[in-house]
Amino acid sequence: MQATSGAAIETQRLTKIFDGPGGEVRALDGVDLIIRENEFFTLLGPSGCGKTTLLRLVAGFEQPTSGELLLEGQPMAHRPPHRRPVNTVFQSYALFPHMSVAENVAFGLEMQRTPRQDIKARVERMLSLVKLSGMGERRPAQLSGGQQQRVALARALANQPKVLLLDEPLSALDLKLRKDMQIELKRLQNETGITFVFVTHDQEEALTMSDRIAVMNEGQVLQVGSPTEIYEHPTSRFVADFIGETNLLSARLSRRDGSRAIFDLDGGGELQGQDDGGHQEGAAVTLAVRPERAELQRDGPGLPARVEQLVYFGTDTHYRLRLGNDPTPFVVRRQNRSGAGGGFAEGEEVRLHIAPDAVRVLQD
Amino acid sequence: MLKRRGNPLWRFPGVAPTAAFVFAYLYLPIFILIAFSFNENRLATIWTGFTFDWYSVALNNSDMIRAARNSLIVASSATFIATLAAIMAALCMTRERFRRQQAVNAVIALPLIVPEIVTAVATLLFFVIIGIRLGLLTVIIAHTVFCIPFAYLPIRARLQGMDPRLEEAASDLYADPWRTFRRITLPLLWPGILSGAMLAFIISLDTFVITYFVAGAGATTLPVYIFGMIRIGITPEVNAVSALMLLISITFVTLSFLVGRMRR
Repeated sequence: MQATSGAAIETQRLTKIFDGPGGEVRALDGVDLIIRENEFFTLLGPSGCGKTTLLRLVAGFEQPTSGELLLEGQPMAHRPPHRRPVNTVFQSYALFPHMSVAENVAFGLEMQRTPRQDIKARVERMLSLVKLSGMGERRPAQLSGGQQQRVALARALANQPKVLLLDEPLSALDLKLRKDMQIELKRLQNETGITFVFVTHDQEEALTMSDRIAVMNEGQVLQVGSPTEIYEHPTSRFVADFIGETNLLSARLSRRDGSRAIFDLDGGGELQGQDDGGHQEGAAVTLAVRPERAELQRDGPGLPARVEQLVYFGTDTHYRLRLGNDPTPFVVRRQNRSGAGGGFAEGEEVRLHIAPDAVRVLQD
Repeated sequence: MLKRRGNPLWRFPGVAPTAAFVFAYLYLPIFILIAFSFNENRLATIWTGFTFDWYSVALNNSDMIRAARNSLIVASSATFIATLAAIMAALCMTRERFRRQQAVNAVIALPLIVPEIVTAVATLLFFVIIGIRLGLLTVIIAHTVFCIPFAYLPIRARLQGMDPRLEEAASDLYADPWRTFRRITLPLLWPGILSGAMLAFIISLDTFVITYFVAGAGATTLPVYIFGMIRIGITPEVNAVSALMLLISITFVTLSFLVGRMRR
């Protein structure tokens, strides 16, 4: 068993099978993952994809069915949660209702038998770090959701864990508060230098906060990379579709022309893309194009299309186009800037221009 | 009045008299019993004047005091043992998952359904077979058995309502299982435990049939003693003792209810 140096967490073929009433459920299916020290790492996926199970395995609340889990190079098999150098921020916060805010924050330190004077000082510092100074005597029930959230953070961070696990901690907050807490979390991670493992199903949250993201589905990690890599270079249909909006086009690799590949769209027409060299000529492929990377023109080169519907979003307008005989509409997003030229009307015949570097060839 | 605006039941004729009759049927005998405990006349059924005398007679009756003491010893011991057993059973039933859990749950609650006379006969025969001498100990053992489900139900309800994440959070914050129990589970469970214990206590205090079967000489409890008094003849002293028991019962049931609802 070789541990990777510089890895805060490493999983090797990590698998978790639950016995459900309807038979076995593979919550995690052979996950290989390396989470580096001091990074903000996000597990992103729809509900039921296994991201929370992975977090609970790292915390020690569940035992893996098979595979290996290393924390700072140490194998964690059968080590109970109270002897792991990680702390968790729960989705429901799980603050102890019979203790004051200060007692909650002090709990972990007390359990580690930290001297009383040090505990007091550390609790003060943690409460000021999460901007709750002077709230120490209150009960959790007397605080707002956002404040409870910050107590949960302070309680976990007070122990200076190697890794902080966050299980959808912002999902119970309203939009405005969530945005504030996103910035707050990022600040805390920078200030403390602790490795954050953040679980969310919100792709925007993942893109704005993370150093790296692992996209998960059905118990497997589909792609790991920086937000830019995940967004700009999705390798699979699922990732392209789950992260942001995307247009998926079925096509066939027609021929190669230097560094370009030319695709015949199943709905009719031709599209140029960058050649990734991964496919044979004549192979069926799926192409992904982001709505903001395609352009509309009244005439000139490009694919002929018809505006079926337009939806106004304030900052931008979404045009749903019919492309040849493709039954799924192609969406183009145009910013409503001054000087960007007039909009297009429903029913108008337009030209869709897609630059070759905006076309992604998916692996599956 | 019970009458509340918006209750559609009141639109029907005869609802109020029927309700009054049912409540009278339920509680009138008890009111009469209490009223006659203040009756001056020695004959319990003829009212001649108001007095507290029968209470002082009852409280100075050394046999009655001994019976009351026995009742308290039995109820306290049975409650203590039954509550401990109930806590352990409830923890096991809510924190673990195992096969036939529903069946085990039903077995724990079974004493609630088994007719008391059956339990009484069975318990007596059992004591005779194993050759244990009837006395306070046998009463305590018998009471413990049927007190367990009464203590168990509120404790389990409390545990089921507890967020399992709280215990996980404690273990995540370096508390070993014992300290998790002592610092988190037990304090949060406390209202359930008190509620269950008080319920068990009052059930033990009231039980007559089983006690009557398994109590040996010198192990007479208050209900058994009252039964003995009645055979001699109903005097206001019996009423006074009964009224005192009622007071204790109501106090404990009310406390049990209030503590059970306690939110911390």
